[in-house]
Amino acid sequence: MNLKNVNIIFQKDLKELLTLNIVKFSIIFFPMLFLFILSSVLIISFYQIGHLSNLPLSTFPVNNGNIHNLEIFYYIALNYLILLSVVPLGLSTTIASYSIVGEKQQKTIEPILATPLDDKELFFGKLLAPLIPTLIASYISIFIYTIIADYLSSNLGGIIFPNIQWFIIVFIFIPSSTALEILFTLLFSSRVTDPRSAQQISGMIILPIIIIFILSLFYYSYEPILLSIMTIAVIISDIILFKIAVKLFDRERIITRWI
Amino acid sequence: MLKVIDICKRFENKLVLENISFEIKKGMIFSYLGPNGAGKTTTIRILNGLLKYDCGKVIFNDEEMSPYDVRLRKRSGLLTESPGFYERFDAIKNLKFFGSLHGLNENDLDNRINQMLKEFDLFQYKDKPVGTYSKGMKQKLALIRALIHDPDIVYLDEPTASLDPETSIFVRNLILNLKKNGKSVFLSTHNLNEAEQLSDWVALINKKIVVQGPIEKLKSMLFGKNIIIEFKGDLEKVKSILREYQFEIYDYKIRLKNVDDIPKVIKELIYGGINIYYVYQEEHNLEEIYLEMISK
Repeated sequence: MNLKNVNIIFQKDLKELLTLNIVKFSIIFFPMLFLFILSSVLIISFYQIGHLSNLPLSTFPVNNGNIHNLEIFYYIALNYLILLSVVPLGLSTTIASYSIVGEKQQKTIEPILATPLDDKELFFGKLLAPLIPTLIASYISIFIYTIIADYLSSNLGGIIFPNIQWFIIVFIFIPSSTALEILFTLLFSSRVTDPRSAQQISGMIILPIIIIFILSLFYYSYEPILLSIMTIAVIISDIILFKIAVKLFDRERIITRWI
Repeated sequence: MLKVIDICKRFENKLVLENISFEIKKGMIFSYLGPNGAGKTTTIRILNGLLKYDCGKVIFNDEEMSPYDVRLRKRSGLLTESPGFYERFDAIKNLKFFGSLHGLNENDLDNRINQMLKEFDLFQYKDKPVGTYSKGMKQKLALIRALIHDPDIVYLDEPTASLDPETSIFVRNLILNLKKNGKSVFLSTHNLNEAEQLSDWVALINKKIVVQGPIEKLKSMLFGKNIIIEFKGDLEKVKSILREYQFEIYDYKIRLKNVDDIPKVIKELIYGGINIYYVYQEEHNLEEIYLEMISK
């Protein structure tokens, strides 16, 4: 596989996607909207921390009978961080569906496949094009959120992020679940001609699965081992789906289905 | 240069190409004609490494190719039936993208793009989004894309379909120039006049090759070398004079099937008092060959 060709596809897709107002709007607006909402709720939680510590100790996973305000704040901040990981999933579906359907609508796939480009190079290019901008946009909002959380937690006597859970969520769970979402979109976009249909189909199938993972993280995120197991499950799903997608992403199938 | 030997293709158990064989030599214009659904585009896609074939052999520049062979794509240029460009990109961005996938380095590519845009009268529009181009301009741009990597053979799928006469003439001249420069051209078209004007070799296809050869050879093979004699006089008298010969009469024209009979027939007609005005070999065009063969 020639990485130069992967990069050519990636660069082209990125440039083309950024000419679409809907994509530009989604990349800027949704991460910032989630950041604004979750940071606001975090700030409110910070000022309500005295009341929260009156909640029954069973509310919190760390239940040693002597819970500290900082631990309560950490638990809340961690859960909001997990909620923030929904952003790249929605974003990647939007971007990936435009990437594939755009080729179909403009009838550009045949001239692309007539070049010496390999099917796998095209596949990786198409996978990276939505993944990289999605991750960059999401990481910007996550890093701002992290700074806000740390600033608030420093007033409670400590810095909460980054820690092992933060690293697992940010650098393993988010990229792997986003990749899973894109793989689904790549598979299903080939069957439709309208980006919205592609988003709906892939969203209907994959988003519920990912949201189950995310909801599970609310309960297990305190324990790095459990968090790792959940994340490994996503990575395994990635590998399985990746193998299926690569197998199905052959030029004859593309030519007969995409044109 | 390109030898196709008995290739066949199935789509989900449906045979769409059956034992297709032909040879395209260097500098040859090869026309591939057939009705819709005959398998023309499928053949082009196979020969450009876009579809695999289920049987047969493809030999390109004396090397046997495998299905999807990258060597086919490196040395071939393809003009697809619909031009297909990134409509929000300008001509330069589009051509740079496709050119770089052919492995051309940036400097060479820039020079070649500028030179070709000038040759194709598109240089002044190079910064405009391709979505604003007319159909003819897009077709010219698609031709530049097909030729950007200087291929040995160019596949043109309906290159002049629904183009204005000026652009059609431009495309036909380009095809002749390609031939002059030693490039082979595979021309798939419904425009039989165009094929007749340009082709060195014609193949009629309807899932399998119905007939192929140089046009003149096809004409004499299918219609023979009929001679037409235009006359004025009594029809019944003519029929009685010619009763020993193989002939047909229509509109005061005699169609003689056997060239060797001409001297005797003319002599007898003149002796019989029939006025002869013209004697010539009957002309057939590609359209007649096409209709004759496809109807079979």
